[in-house]
Formats: sequence, structure tokens, C-alpha cells
Amino acid sequence: MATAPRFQFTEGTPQYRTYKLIGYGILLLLVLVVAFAYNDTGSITLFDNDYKVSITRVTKAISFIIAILGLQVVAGFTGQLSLGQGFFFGVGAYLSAWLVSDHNWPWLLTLVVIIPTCFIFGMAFGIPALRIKGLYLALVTLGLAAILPSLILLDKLEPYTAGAAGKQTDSDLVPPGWLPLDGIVDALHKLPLVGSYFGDGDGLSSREEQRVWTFFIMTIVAVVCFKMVGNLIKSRPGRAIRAVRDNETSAAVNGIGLAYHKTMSFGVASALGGVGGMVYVAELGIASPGDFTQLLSILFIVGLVVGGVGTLSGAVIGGLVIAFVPDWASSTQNFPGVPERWLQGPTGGLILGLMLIVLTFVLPGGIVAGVRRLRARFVRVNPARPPLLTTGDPTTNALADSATVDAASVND
Amino acid sequence: MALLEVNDIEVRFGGIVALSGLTFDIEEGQICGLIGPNGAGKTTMFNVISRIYDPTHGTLNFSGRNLLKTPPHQIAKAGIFRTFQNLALWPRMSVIENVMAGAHVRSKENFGTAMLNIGRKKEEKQLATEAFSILHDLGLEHVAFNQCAGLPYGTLKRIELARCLIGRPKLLMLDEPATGLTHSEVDLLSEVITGIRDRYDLTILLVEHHMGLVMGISENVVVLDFGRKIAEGLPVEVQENPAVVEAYLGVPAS
Repeated sequence: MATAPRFQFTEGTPQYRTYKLIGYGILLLLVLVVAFAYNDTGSITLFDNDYKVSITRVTKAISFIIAILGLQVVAGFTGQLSLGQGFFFGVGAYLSAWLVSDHNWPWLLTLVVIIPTCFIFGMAFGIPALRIKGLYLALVTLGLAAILPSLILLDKLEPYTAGAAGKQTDSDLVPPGWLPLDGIVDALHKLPLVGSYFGDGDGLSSREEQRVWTFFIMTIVAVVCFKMVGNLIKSRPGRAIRAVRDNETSAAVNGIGLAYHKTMSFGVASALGGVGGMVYVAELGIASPGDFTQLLSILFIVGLVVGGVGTLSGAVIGGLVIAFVPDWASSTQNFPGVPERWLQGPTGGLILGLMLIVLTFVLPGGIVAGVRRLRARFVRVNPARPPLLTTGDPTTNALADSATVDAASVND
Repeated sequence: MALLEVNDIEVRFGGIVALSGLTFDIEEGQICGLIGPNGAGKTTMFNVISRIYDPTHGTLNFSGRNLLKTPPHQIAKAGIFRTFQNLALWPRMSVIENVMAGAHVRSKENFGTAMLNIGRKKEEKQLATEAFSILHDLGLEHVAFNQCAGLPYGTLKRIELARCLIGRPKLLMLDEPATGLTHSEVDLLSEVITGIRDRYDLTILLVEHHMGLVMGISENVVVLDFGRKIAEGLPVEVQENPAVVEAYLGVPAS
């Protein structure tokens, strides 16, 4: 058995709050660094390979992250394997593209339409889940994902979806004039030591400014989504869906309506898929049918599993992985110890596939599980002990009356 | 009027008759033991009351309400909670979350309010307090934040009991609570059962093989054999009933 972790915190204490604050501070710092350091297409060089890192790709990752967050709700927490997330991603993407380019709606306002639409579609879609389980449900949902590209290409819908050419949007998210993004990047550039990483000192072009601004907005959208799902999980309905996942019979016996919770969970997941689609189009500027095939749904599942099923942070990692790793894998042309000719040509799929296989064996709970195991060596968070019910409590209920006798005598 | 009225219940699985013509009442505040040899239909009866199985015939009334018209997930709302023979906890949730989820029918947050954080914290705090108090009551506070997976069997049984208690049941159904417990744990269990009955104002229906436990705490015992009721009455009466002796020990060879 390993020795006790170096740092121990109890929830609710000032030390714990400081620990949390440091964690969030680091995250915020990361966001700012990404925004200002990689606003132009940057790259990391490792073993003579150029790994592209650009803010546009990070924004794309955010769209995947939100979609995978939805999958966490339905597959990770409710235990319903849905391969249809790509469908809702596509619906969200096309709805927002249509509203923005044909009706001049601002991007964020399209969520008002996307969320209810995807939610209702998703709930309807959850109905098969009431009858079928496991692989069969996966198959049915995969069918839905397969329908979307052909749906987009329908003649009747072509005026709205622009068919095979893809729906262009020329509206960008323009940062407000009062926000000195240009000044910030200049100030960062003047920093000693690290300054040279922040741009080339000529400020931001309006295109770059828009990229940074889009990234910020979408980060906020993602944070709101995460906060909401986090709230959901730590609440009555959240426990209910996890109970449904773990044991349906005992969930029903304890008064949890299986049908209601499954369909609602599908609804929430699908709405998140739609939000992800909006982010995707807002970043890319075009929605084309080839982007929303079954492959996308499978990719989301890959992200879900690689990140860690049933964890919120797993969605972040999963989204980043599916946005970057396939591309990075194909940019890997040299690796120490591996003959160069092995890595020539289309090896991207090979590397990605090998990585998935190895990861499944090495870290069965996903990357998050590995990180948590590592962290547990250094930090342990002890949950705060809730108070016991006491007689003095005005909210005392029938249950409390009986519990109090023991509680009082033992506690004081 | 009795709290639970079981009237002429029959359950068939294909050609097999699991229960037939079963009639008994449970009075309010009573501990009723349901016993019988293996395969007598005890657990089937439990599953009928918790609406996992539909009876082919008969009626079931719970404080004047027709249970057979109540959907399964409304049974808990009506005030009937149960434990399972082979444990049905939610292994990937912590112990205290298991218990808090047991209060599902008594708490109010829904998907909308929970996501928007309306009243969520207050309810969470209240539920955590109640759950922790019950765990404390059952001597489980030291495992409150553990995952269920990996805890000893006896502990898990008590967690299941705690999960029922937080729902404030009127009728608590215990399916073989003594299985897998050691001798001293069984003694403790009978104290726990009578204790919670008095403290939480419960009516208890108990299925159990451990005769010492059933005879020690039951006020009424119903004996099943091959899906039929063969005896009912006070523990002492039942013990001397020749039909019961025969069901358990067989007929003496003559």
C-alpha cells in the first residue's frame, strides 16, 4: 500500500477552496495561453515532426467536447449506448447555419431554436431505448446517424441545406470594439522570457481577432454546459439516471421512473449535441454533409471512451483527442527507434488505431482514470461530513425524531 | 382495515403455477414473516407486491388503494419499499448517494431546476443530512463516502436497509435479510428490525429462512409451500402445525 498522499484537504475548508482556486486558475491560464499564443497557426515540433496547434482547431475541439459531454449524460451516466450523437450534432450545425446565413440571426441566439428542437427530437429518439438495450440500441441509433447525410441532400431540403456543396455562412463573431484584444497580445508579447511565444509583435489582424473572440465565446458556452451537467449529476435526477444505469430493477422499486429518466437523458444529450454542432459551424463557417456521417458518431464514442466514461473531465480530454490526435498521427513522419520508411504514407489511421488498442489495455477507465490514480498519490480530498439531524432543527421531520435520540447521545 | 390485503393471488409462468389462491393480510405496525421451503413462492410474492411480476389472478390492496393499477415506479410513492435477496445497490455510486437516491419520491428537483441550480443546493444539503443521519443510525457512517463495490456483504445489506428507510416507507419488505450474516450478526439484525419498526413506524413483511429470526420477531407468520398458503398464525402456532412440519421435514415413514 502506498503511503498517505502528500496533500490532504477536507471539502469546505479554506485550504480546499485554495486548492480548487489554484486548479481553476491553471485552467484559465491555459485558456488564455491557447487564445493568444496560438491565434495564428502555430505548431509544436517534436522529433522533427510538425504538430499543428491552432486556435481554430481548439475551437473545433470545443464543439466535440460539448457533444461528448452530451454522450456522457446518456451513455456515461444513464448507460444507454447511443451512436446517434452525430445526428444531433449535424442538426444543430445545419439549423444554426441556416438561421445565421438565411435569417441573419446572431450565432448564440440560434441556440434558442437548436436546444428545444434537438431536445424534443432526442426525447422522441429515446423512446426506442425504453424497449431495446445494449447493442440493439446502438444499432438503431447508428441508423439515425446514417440517415442524416442523405437527409441533407434531399431535393426538398436543398434550398435550406445547400445540398452537397455545403451551407456557407459568412457571418463571423466580431469582438466588441471596447475589447483591446490587440493590446493584450502586444502586452503579452512584451513579457520577458515567454513573450516571444505570443504572436510576432505586430498585433492581431481582424481575422485573428475574430478567431480569438470565437474561441472565448465558445469556451464560455462550454463552461456553461459543463456547469449545468455538473449540477444535474449532483442532484436528484442525476442520481436517478445513474441508478437506472447501475440497476434498473432497484431503480424502479425505489420510485425512479425508467421511461421518464431515459427519455429526458436522451433529450439533454441531444440538446448538447446540437449546441456542439452550432459551435462547429460557427468556427468552420460551413456545414457540409460529408462532415456528419456515422463516422462522426463513432468518433464521439472514441472520445468518450478514451477520455473516461462517466466523468465530466473525460469529455474535455476526449474532445481534444479526437480533434487533434488523428491529425497529429498523420503528421508523425519520424519517431526515434522506428525506421523512417515505416512512417511514410498514410500511417495516421495506423497510429491512431494502435494508440486506441494500447490505451484500452493500459488505462481501461480512460485517460481521466489514469490521471486520477496518479493524482491520488499526491492529493486526497476528504468529503465534508454532513451534520446529523438534531431536535433543535426547525426542519425536523418524522425521520429526524427517531434519529435524533442516537445522534444526540453519540455526538455530544 | 389491514394495511396490505393480498387476495386470491395467482401467478403463472407458462405452465408453472408459482402462486395460487394466496390470501393474507398485514395489519399496520405488524412484523409479518413469510416463510416456506425453497421455491415456495416467497420472493415471487415480493415481486408481485413491488409490481415486477403481474399476477394472473387476484387483487392487491394497500391502504385501500388497488396496487395492481399502480405502475411499478409509483409503488415507492405509495409507501412500499423493499430490499433484495441478492442486493440491488447501485455499485458505481457512493454509499451516501445510494441512500440519497432512495429518497427519490420524497425530493423535488427535476432536470430543469437541477441544471439551472434552482433550489438544488438546499435539497442536496437536506438529503445528505438525512442520509447521513440514517447511516449513523445503522452504524454505517464510517463507510458513507465509500463506493459500494468492495464493501462486506453484511454492510451492503444494511446500506440497502438505509436506502429504504430514507423513503419513509409504510410497508418495508425485507427479502432474506439474514442471508450471509454470521450468528452474532443475525442477533443484531433482529434488534435492528424491531428497532426500526418502532422508531420509523413501519409495517414489515419479512421473507427469511433463518427460523430463529423469523420466530423471534414476527407477530404473524404466513407459511407457503408450492405456491399455496399452508398455515398462518402466531409463531408458536405455526411451529406446531403438522402441515408446516411436513413441508419442512417431510412425512415420517410408517
